[in-house]
Amino acid sequence: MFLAFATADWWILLVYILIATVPGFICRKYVHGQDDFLLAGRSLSVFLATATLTATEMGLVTVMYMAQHGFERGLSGMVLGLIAGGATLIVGLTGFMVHGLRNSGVTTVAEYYQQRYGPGVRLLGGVIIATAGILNYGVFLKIEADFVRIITGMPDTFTLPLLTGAGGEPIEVAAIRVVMSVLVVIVLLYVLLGGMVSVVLTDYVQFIVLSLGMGLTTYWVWTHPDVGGFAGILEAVNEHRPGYGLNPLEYKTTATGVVGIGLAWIIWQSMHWTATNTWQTMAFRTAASDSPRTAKLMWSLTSVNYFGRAVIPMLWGVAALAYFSNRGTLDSVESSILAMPMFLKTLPAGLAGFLLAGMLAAMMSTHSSYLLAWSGVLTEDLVAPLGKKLFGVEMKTKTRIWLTRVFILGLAGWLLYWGLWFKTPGPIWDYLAITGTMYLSGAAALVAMGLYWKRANIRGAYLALLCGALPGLVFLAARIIALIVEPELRDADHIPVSTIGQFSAWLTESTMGLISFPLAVLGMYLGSLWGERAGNKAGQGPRVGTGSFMAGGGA
Amino acid sequence: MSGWALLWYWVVIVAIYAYFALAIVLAIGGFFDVKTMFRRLAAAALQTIAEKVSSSEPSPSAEPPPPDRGGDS
Repeated sequence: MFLAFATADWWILLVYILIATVPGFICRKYVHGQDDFLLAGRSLSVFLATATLTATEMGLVTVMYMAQHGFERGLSGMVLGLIAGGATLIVGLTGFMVHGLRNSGVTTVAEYYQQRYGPGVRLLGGVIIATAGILNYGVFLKIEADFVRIITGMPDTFTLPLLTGAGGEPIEVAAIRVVMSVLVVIVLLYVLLGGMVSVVLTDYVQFIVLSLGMGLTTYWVWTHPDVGGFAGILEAVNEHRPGYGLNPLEYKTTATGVVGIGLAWIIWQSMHWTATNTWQTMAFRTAASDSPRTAKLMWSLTSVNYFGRAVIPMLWGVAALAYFSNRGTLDSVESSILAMPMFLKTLPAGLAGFLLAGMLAAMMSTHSSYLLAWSGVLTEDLVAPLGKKLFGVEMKTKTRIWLTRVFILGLAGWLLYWGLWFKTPGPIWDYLAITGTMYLSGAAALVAMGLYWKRANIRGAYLALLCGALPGLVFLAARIIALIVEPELRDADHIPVSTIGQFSAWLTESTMGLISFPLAVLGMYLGSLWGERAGNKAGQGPRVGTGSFMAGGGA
Repeated sequence: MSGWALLWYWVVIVAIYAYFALAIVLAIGGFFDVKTMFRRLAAAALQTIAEKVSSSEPSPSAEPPPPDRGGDS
């Protein structure tokens, strides 16, 4: 057994995995159609809907990137919690977008595109949603596996039993690959069996385990003698993150990237978090709620969770900074993303098991929902409409469920590949946010203006989608080419020398993210005016339900 | 403590208390919601079965089958 993890921890973990996976088998009998598989029959009441939304959006990857944010940017990183909580609360109280989306009865955001603008917009929207979502999702598993590897104290490599190489030498496999594979198998086991009904049930169980694990760990972090409470944290921030560690308005760069947050980032994040309810995994929860009123209430309650899910892991991250600083071992931290797990590796026996169970809970609920969301988009928004358009074939319910399952398997394979290959230029959150913005900027423009602006039409929708996705695509394309041309960029301390490497570093996430939202709105505005002027039928498009959404949107 | 430090201190305190208080509320409320969800899903499943059964039975308004002519056709 690995050194850091005691026997009691492994038992806690084993019992938890059994509890979490059994509902997947039990729930099979409730899955009759795609609505049951993807939306739990649209039967979620407010507490369950909020608990599952929290469990979904509070993944192990969330804890990791939020902690990294706290470690790198100090206490000022917590401004993200204030933005996320504030924006979500406004959405919940006003019903901005969520009321209209739930009222429309759609399953996916792209389905709304079809209802409001037409099938062509749905297809383009589906392509962008799937591309952005899958790129975003691709880095999850690697980060989570790093956490598991460090907390359990696994060695860097495993020797495969019974197998030898061509010369009879033992075959060694990187531990990270083994952990990633095991985690994927665990998640697939129950997602493929039960769909959303099992996801909802396990999300609920996982929400409880996750909250327990987080609560105990936060207490341990806060009272740890080597952290020194808030005073110790403050001292470490002032010493190692001078100025920008407390003041989020202070923008600061180093040779290897951006460290201070700055106003551009804050504005970008404010727009991002207001639009975030159109993110497919969250839109699923809005769609699965039993009424528009429940949807609004769910988002109001979720604001507290979004606030906490940012601030609490950031506290762990910034506490890791204080811990290593006070012990004089800050140089031993391999990378900022690994600082928090390296600190939590010192958790006492029993608590480590609880934390890992909680984090695995977080991970499984996130993966299950993300797998369902992206495979659902691929099936419902791409393959099924294409099949109908090209061959005039309406896909049967059973075929759709099976196709969704095939896509789930494909996505699992993608997780094993992309996370190991791609290296984000800045903090993980900024990568997730820029890939998210590719989708959210266009989606928010289409949904919000579709609900609240009668003149929005097809041409505007096409232009908004393209304009919103373009900055993110340019950013990612530059980064991918830079990584191919200059593989040394994978090293955290490497300063780019190639032109594309320097260009990629110059295109910061906050700049590209900041321009995405106004560009999408501008695209919708200009495109709609263009459509009106053209005056042809193609430019006008259907205006399904605009009036009722206006009335019910609460804006 | 500076103004920023004071702000972050209270942000941390409020986040911890609010998050875990809501967690308790959701854990209790969610339990009853799970029961409601399964009641609804079970009712929907029963309805699906009933619809299948009724659709497999011959409709009373349908034309009666042709009489057996004893193979003389």
